[in-house]
Amino acid sequence: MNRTFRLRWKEKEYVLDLGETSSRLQDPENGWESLLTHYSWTREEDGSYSLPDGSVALLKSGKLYIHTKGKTFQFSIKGKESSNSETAQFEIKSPMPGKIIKMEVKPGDPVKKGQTLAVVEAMKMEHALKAGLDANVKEVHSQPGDIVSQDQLLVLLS
Amino acid sequence: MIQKLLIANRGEISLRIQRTCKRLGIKTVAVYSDADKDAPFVKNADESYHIGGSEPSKSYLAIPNILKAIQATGADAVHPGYGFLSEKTEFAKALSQAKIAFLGPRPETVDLMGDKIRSRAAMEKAGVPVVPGYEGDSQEPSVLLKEAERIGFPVMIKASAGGGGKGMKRVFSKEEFLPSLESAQREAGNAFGDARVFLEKYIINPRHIEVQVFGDSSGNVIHLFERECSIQRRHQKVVEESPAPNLDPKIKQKICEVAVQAASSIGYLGAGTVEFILGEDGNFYFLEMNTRLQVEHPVTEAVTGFDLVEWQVRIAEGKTLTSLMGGKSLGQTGHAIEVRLYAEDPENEFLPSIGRIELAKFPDLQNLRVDSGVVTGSEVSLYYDPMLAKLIGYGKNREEARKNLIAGLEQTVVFGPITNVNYLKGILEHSEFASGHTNTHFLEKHKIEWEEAGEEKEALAKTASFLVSRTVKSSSVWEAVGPKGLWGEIL
Repeated sequence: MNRTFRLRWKEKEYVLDLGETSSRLQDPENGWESLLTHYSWTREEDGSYSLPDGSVALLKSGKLYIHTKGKTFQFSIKGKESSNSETAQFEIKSPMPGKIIKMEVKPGDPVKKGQTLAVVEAMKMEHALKAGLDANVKEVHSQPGDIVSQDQLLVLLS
Repeated sequence: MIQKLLIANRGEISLRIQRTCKRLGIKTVAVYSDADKDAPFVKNADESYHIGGSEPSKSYLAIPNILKAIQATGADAVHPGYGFLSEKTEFAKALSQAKIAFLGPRPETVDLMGDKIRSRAAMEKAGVPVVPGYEGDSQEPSVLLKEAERIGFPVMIKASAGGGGKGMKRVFSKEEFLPSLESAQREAGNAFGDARVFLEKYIINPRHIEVQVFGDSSGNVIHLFERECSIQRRHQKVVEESPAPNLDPKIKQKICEVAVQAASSIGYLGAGTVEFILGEDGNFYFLEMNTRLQVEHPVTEAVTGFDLVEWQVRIAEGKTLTSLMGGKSLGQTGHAIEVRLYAEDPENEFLPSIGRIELAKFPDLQNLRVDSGVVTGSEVSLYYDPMLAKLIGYGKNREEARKNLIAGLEQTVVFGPITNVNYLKGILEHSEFASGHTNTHFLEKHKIEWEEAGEEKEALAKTASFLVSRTVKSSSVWEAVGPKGLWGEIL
């Protein structure tokens, strides 16, 4: 029986079809597909795995890390993601853990694309959250001084 | 003689200071906040002392807490590292009153150079060229706007207190000025507790050149040559090197002389850096003086062969510069380049990436120095600067140093938080960087060129093969973790 994994890296999703004898890798978006080369990974004392060419892999907390040719990739191997891009545009989430230092809108406010809705600060750097489209503010979920986590919903547009 | 040194800092700089102290036979005391209780720098010190909560204001910035740690551990000297209290006059004063040696300049010097407005005036008086600007007392938006128009756009808004790019804004037009001013003042207020700003003429295509200086208690001041720090992002240095590439020898000599002149004019004691902005026309201007050891000091150490922390210790003990050099002459041998490894995501506006480091492996190579503050299992918290390590490549010429550093970056593995390692490698491999013709706009200008990831397919193929090796080939994995464990979310 084949096992299918979905690997997510940034916004892209790849399909990995593992078979008993052969396995395939597909990028549905770009239409490429390749048969896998098999490598022999060595387990290291620290729990990571390595290849003679210096590649290092680690599986931890639902994430697969891979370092190859000097580049580091982090794949999420979790299940299906939920929100599609249309609803995502209406959800203004904190891009990082930090502190709200400004909330410039209140429920009912009309906003223009590009308008700053809130300002989050982390490590003394300010980051402005902007509206991705013309919309109305439906809900506001935080206020200046709040400590927020990454991906926490701050403003809901409609 | 200093017997026991307390390091009022954390992370890589604490570890780096500890290394020198161990060599010199000086005992070290690390101080730590709640968030740092398991950090490598705490475990590596001879003694450690808890100084409070994770927020810097409750620990590393709390002078009474540090004083208590000094008293409790019997330390006779303090190294402030960089950031935190390193340029706080009150701290230098408090130590001086308590008769504890401070590995930095005199409190008056810290005070003078910490205020950018007063320091500019002092430098002007000493005949050091400064950038045209406005450094008046008024902080009225309307006055500042008028001054900005007088200087002529583009202008820079800069925070009077502190450094490191915080509270700094570049403004190209009258319309942008007031919103930028508001933001700069707020950032400055948050970062330094002082919202005052000043204005400066913005120099087109500038290079950032700084000179390492040292002064002793007999009044001698020398320079240890220049560092080029032009590769910056949002006014934060990313790559630093020594010597500065393609620098006219006449300008080089003059800039080093002016740095000594600047430091001498204020009777400088200890390690300091005079920063200059160098225009395309060869004119250079004083930017600021940092009255501390800097993040990028290893490149100077690499090319001069001296340990600058050792010098700081010996100067605090009253030794002269001549005795420190021990008959060796001052010169730059070879070339060194440093990069700063940050827990940040270059492809997501460089936002800090926080969390547990699942794996950290740093290379052990010839001609590569790694000053790291983290190990596997370390937490990158939102409380502190996300710098994880510095890598310094050395070579007999610039090209060799560059290649050694690239090799080092390729073998640097950090899993968990996203790091800028790929980005750093992209900078070093860029043809314009390789040619040594860079200015402070380099990173803005070349942003796109390395955001395209080329090795994606290969990484995926390796990932896939890794999964194959962990599942299909080894059935024991399924027994060990159960079908709902490791692969709980298989579709």
